[in-house]
Amino acid sequence: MRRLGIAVVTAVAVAAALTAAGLAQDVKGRRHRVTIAGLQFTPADVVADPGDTVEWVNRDLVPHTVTARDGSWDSHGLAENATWEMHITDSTVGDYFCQYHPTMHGRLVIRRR
Amino acid sequence: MRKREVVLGVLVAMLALSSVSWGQSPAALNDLEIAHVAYTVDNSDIRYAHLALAVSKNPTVRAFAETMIRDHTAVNDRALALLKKLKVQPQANAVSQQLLDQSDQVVDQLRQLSGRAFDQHYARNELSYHHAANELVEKTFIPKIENPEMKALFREALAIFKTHEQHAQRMVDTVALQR
Repeated sequence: MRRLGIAVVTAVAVAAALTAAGLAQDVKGRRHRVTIAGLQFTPADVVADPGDTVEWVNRDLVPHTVTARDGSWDSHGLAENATWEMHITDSTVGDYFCQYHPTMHGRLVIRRR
Repeated sequence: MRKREVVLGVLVAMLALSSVSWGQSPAALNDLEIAHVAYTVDNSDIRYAHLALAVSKNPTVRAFAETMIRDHTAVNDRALALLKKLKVQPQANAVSQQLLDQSDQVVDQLRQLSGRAFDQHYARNELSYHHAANELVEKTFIPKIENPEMKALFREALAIFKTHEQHAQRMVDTVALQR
């Protein structure tokens, strides 16, 4: 019974530590917002550090996607006022576009230190 | 067969909105009549897009058609919601009837085409249709509309349809290069 109690306390402590670590990561990274309006990504270029988060919010009345030019990531359809976010890593940077409106372009750039 | 398709393609191009000689001046329409014309223009393009999805196997054409259905439906839904809020109904008029008749002719002509001939003429029709509709909305309808919410919606829709026009130009260029 005592062993079970220790196991439960340990599991709770580990979960809390992981959660705290996740939160810490969120707090550590900056958030960037890209507004989709008038069929444009604004700002078109986002310069970010690995661990930052980029959030896209669609203010147009028609749906859009945020899709990597190389196909490695994709928000899929975002309806009006929908948001989508992505953590920045070395592999998520590069050009992106809207699959529904291929004339819409944006770019994620890793900050060089 | 090829010669027949070329002739039909020319006929489709001649039926584009830009070649219309209006029986009633669009500049003489009131807000509710303009709303009816805009709804008709949207629905005609949705109709062409459904035909394209039924006929074409070209991924460029199909993707464009799916976007037209998605976007024009969204704009129409917003327009209908605004009219409901304002407690008014769009008013049928001679201009929208003329557009409906023209749309019937375009669909009849496109139905007689297939393969590359269909793709090319669908693409060209979309380009000329959006160009003419954008001119009509920007130069005639927006300055004329009195209701501020309706004017704002038309401005928002115009930005969408101008992007469609650019997209249609890319589709024309892409289809022309394909064999």
